[in-house]
Amino acid sequence: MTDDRAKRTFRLPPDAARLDEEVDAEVRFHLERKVERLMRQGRTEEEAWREARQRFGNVDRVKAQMTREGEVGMKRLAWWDRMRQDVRYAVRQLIRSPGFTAVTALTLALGIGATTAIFSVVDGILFRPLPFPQSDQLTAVWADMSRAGGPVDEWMNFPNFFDLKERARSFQAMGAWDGGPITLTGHGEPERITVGSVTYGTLSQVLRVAPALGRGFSPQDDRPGAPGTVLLSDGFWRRALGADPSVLGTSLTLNDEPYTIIGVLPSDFDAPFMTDADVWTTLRVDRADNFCGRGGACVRVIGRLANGTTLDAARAEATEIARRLEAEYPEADANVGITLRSYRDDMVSDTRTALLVLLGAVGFVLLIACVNVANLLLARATTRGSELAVRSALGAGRARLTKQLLTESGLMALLGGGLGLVLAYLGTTLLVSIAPPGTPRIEEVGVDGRVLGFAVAVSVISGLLFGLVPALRSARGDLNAGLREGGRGGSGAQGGMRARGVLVSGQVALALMLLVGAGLLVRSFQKLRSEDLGFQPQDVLSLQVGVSPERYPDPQTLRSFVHRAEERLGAIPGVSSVGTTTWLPLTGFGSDTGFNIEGQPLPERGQSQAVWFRRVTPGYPEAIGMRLEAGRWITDRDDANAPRVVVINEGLARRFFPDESPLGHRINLGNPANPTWREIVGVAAEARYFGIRDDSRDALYLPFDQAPARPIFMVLKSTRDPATLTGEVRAAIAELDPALAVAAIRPMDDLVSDALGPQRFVTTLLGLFAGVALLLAVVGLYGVVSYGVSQRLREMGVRLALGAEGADIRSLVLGQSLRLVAAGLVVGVLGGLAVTRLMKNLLFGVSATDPWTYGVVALALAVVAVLASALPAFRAARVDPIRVLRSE
Amino acid sequence: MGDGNLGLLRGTLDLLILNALATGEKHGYAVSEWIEAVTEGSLLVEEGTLYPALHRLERKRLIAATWGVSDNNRRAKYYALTSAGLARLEEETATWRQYAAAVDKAVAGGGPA
Repeated sequence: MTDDRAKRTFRLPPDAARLDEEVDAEVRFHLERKVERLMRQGRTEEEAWREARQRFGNVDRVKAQMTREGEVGMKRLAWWDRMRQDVRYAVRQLIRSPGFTAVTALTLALGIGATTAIFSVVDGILFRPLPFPQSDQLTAVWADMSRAGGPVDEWMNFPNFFDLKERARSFQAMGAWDGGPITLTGHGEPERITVGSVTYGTLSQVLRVAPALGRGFSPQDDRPGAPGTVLLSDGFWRRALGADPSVLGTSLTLNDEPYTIIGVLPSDFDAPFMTDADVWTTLRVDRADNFCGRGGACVRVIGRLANGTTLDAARAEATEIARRLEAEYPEADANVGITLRSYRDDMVSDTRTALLVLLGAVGFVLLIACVNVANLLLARATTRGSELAVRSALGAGRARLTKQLLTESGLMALLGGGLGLVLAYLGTTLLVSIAPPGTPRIEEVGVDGRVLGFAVAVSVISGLLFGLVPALRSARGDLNAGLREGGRGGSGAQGGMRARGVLVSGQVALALMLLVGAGLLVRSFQKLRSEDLGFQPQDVLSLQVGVSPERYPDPQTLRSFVHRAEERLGAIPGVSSVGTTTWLPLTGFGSDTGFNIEGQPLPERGQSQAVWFRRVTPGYPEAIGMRLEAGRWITDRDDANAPRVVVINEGLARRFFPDESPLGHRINLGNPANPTWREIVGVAAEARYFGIRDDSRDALYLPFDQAPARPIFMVLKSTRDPATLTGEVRAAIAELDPALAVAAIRPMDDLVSDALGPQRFVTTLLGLFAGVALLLAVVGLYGVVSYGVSQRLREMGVRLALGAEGADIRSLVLGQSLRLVAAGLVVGVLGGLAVTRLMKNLLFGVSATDPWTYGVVALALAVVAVLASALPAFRAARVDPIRVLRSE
Repeated sequence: MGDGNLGLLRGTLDLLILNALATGEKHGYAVSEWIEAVTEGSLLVEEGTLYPALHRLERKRLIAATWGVSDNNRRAKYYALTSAGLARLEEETATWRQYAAAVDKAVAGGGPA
């Protein structure tokens, strides 16, 4: 083509008149060129035109068809064009006021980021299905001891487990499991590792996990007396055995017993129980097992519901089976029921309230952030009133203006959302790293597609939330007034002021609710921290020694080992006392036994009467700082040959000897038919063995020498920082017996800190959210008040000119803002009373409606609010009436 | 133009237009001349039918239009193939060849007597 270089191009505007004109021009051009050619061929002009028209066909019809095609394209183009225009215009608006844009985007990013981060944790722990095939079939099975005065979720015993497993048709598979530390020898230093012990089918049928290498357990592996077999976790296989596949078939020595390695579990296998298990073995028990017969509680049970069976149907069947067992074994199973729970819910039950409270709280923060942005937009809409009025006068419809404003807020929301996502990613990583130890499923938490989708949805909803009110207001507003007042923005902005006032009150209410929640948690945390634990954890080191049953098979060897170990550890410089016990405080583990007291009636049939017991050496109370309330502690004289004695705790003393001293009375542990009477020689203060919040449980202490048993925990009181002792302690134990593994060696203070972990986590986060909420609300209040003042400068000027004092103006402004705050406080207190009830489980020693907390928080908020309004109020009072009135 | 044979005609015409523009951008009249030249006037009976087809292809973004000035200094609308149009052209050409070959074979083979 020769003509393209000479071309002058321009964009096709979507316009109906232009379209007609173009169609005409195009057709005319065609006909003229045709005529020229025909004339060159010798036709007369008249002939040429006739022939050109004839060759062309029906000109009008062709034009109509062209226009129709053009219109369809035009509509589409126009939509895109307007959209592009809106977006471009919005981008320009955002760029024009970078400060405004930055503040709103950051505010939103904070809200969206925090909400998304918390959601990612809540989703990973509470909502996402467990990572197993058809995981909704997984069910936790517990013994329900509530009718016998026990918990609804007590561990089961083997006979009841086997009966239930055989009889229940609602389950396609059921497995029992137990586990704990075990000593691994033969691979370098003796090491305490964690073993999970399961019945056949627990892994293969209930969890449906197949080994990545080798084979799984067979029914033969689980028979009583079968040779030991072991499955390795992927982590242990890599860490301890260098991921060597040839270890299959070789032997692993656990607690001095050989186990054949039969397989390695897949790397993505993440058991819902015994999460940190290094190796898995079989329990190798049957119904006849006398270690844990009927009436005992020693294993936990997980089941897989049959296909198509609901949990409710399974419950009904389990209840019926429990009833039959009660009839069959009235001695042991009277008043014992069965509790079934979805395994996922069961895992996270303790964490649920805390997480949902946090999710709710962070939602409040987001809401406050949205309100702040809405307020900013409303304020700006007023100053933009004249701009919008001009655009409206130039032909922009209300729908168009609303769309324009919504595009701006949508863009803002996306900007905030994008930044928020970055914050969310950082926040999630942070949350996972500071999550309290033992948080279930925390390793599954991360930012993934679901979280991303949530963030997008939250951004869009926020955009609508904070954009809709200002957009509707502006589009509805009296545009003539906007034009008339120009940029002056006088009393015409009254409606906007009212809307902003309502929003500010709402913010104050939300902030108050969050602050009250945080205040209640802080008070609970303080109470927990100052709780009398019943022992002194400061400067105490604790450790567990894996004293293997093969090398120390009888009471004598165990006793003499403990004596030698205490002597050796006591010789370490700085150690002032050493003691040994079977269970440590705060760990939540223990042994219990039935008992009866001489001269008091036996418990009625079906009612259990159990007491927790710990074996302790004479040095233990001193080393761990336990208080004695009456009588004496266990001493060196209470040895194997001395009369049997026992120290009971206050709870037991109160319950069974309400009106007399228990000292001198005798108590029997175990079978009442063949009693071994032990004299009560002392009463000890209650100590928190089952967690920091746990109320007292009946417990007693036996002289270790009179009943030596495992596990062996030792405590050392030291004048040095206990953490510095660990090397010497390990060396001392190795000196006594190099085959013994030392585990869980840590200061008692750490145990206390861990026990406070969940409470600290939720308190810290809620405190943080409340702080952010307070900041946002104060900024919002300040913004609205000072904006209101700047809008009413003229009115202030007139008032001053007419004789008002500065003080009058001050109290006018302050009064107005305090009215907003007061309304917010009232709503906030009412809302708080309604909402804090939901967090009752998280509170300790303080009621959800604690008037002290409410009062302090409301007062503090009021003070902060006054300060935030004081600045603009003083500015208003200093207005120079002459200047303001002249500037009109 | 009867709507009865529109489907076949439209497809064929589209293919011709895309082909015409494959050698470079042209205004509508130039396209009609190209078609007339290559088909010896046998296909495009009514030149007017070309224009709705051009506009339809433009709406489908197979061709793009710009207004320019022609070699004899008159305003004219120029059409050019877009990348989507080029892809369509290749696709349609292949289909057409198969179709034509099949029909050709059927006709040449005489078919059932």
